[in-house]
Amino acid sequence: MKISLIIVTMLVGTMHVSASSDSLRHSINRITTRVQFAGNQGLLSAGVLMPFAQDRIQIGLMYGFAPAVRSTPNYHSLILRTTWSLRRFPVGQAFVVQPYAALSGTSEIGNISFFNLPSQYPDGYYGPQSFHALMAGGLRLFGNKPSSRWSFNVESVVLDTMLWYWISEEGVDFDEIWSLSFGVEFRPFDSE
Amino acid sequence: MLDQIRSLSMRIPITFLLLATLFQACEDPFDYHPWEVDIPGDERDLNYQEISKIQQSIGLDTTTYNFAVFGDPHYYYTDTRNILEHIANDPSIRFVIVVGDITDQALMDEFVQYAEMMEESGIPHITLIGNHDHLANGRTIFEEMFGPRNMMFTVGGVRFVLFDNNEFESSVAVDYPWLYTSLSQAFDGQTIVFMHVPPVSDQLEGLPRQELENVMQATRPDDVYMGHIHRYRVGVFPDGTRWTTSAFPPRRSYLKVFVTPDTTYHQKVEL
Repeated sequence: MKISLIIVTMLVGTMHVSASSDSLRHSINRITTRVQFAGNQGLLSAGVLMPFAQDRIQIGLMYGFAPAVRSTPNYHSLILRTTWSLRRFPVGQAFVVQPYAALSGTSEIGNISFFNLPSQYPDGYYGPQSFHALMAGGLRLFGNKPSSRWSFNVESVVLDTMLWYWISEEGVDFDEIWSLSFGVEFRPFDSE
Repeated sequence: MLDQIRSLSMRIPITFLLLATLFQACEDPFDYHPWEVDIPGDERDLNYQEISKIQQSIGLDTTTYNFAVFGDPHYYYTDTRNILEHIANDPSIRFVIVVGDITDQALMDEFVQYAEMMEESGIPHITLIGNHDHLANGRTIFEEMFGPRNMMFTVGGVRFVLFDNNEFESSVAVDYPWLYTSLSQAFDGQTIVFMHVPPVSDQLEGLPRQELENVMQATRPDDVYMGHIHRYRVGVFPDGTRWTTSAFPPRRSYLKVFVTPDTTYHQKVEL
């Protein structure tokens, strides 16, 4: 619960600092809803993203879920997602492809891992287990019109722990630490 | 229509779809969460597979052979590979037993990294569960990947008993009755027990230590090997049964255990 409050506070704080009233209005008009498949933040995750800096940056909150497998609990997570969009590449007249990088903080809020050390452990036995960072690179495809509201993307995602193992240890294959995710984004408000 | 499909603007979404289909065809390119139970098809029941290999290689009848023991590889893949290379270069070592903590956070990817590293070593290996491997969904992953946490098998006239004695992280009770029953079964040969947590650990303070000591006293196995404390240590239970812990790979040492028809003894090997 505490981590959820921290994430919400960070999100609101970031929005407050980085947006004047005009740009905030613009940002609200261009709020995007996102649904994502896989990517280490649930079988499905969904949330809301706000654009900043002429749509180059998106910051948002998502919730992820994966159903229980065998005797394990359901997976629930809160994700603070930030993306940095790079330049756009027009493809023909109808579409645009845009590479982007994403950095997310994800906190498992179910009963799989723990943030606060459970009582059976001596003090300092483990640090928080439920929080992880995710880094991703992706391609976004959308229509080449300002009114275009839908976009589709594919991402390659790596978990912080596995990236660290690849950096610090030999024999961890770079191509094995990445996984795929697909996302769909929709802008509910017409910002024309 | 054909012209439309040929046009660039149509080709891009089609390429996207083909790309998605291609990725779907690859072997499980999706991770749903770090602790998901998603065992690769060829990495199930690994202990059974390895025990079968070892039994075929050494046989069941009493003989002389050596094996290696180390524990707590966690994420020290470089050091663990060095240990495995050293073991592989000693042709007298027939197999290795890893006494738990094969992961740090019990992430699915950590289990897979360990399994692939051991497979690549080419050394027959048997894996025990450690306290870190119990975190999150680790117990379920371990059982699907390696098999039961408590098991018994015979190689070269010696009875090997693997026992899960992790207390803090495990959500199931340590099965001391199973250990007592297994060790009480009549057996014409030596018995070696493998556990993760040694009696000097705070994990076993109080009743667990008493229960373990009671079983040792009642059944008197010939030797006991453990890990967890990351360093080499030899001790004895109150009944006189010897226990030994292996260092973890960053200390660049492992145990070489010598099995003869009459006795077992070990040597600390330093790289």
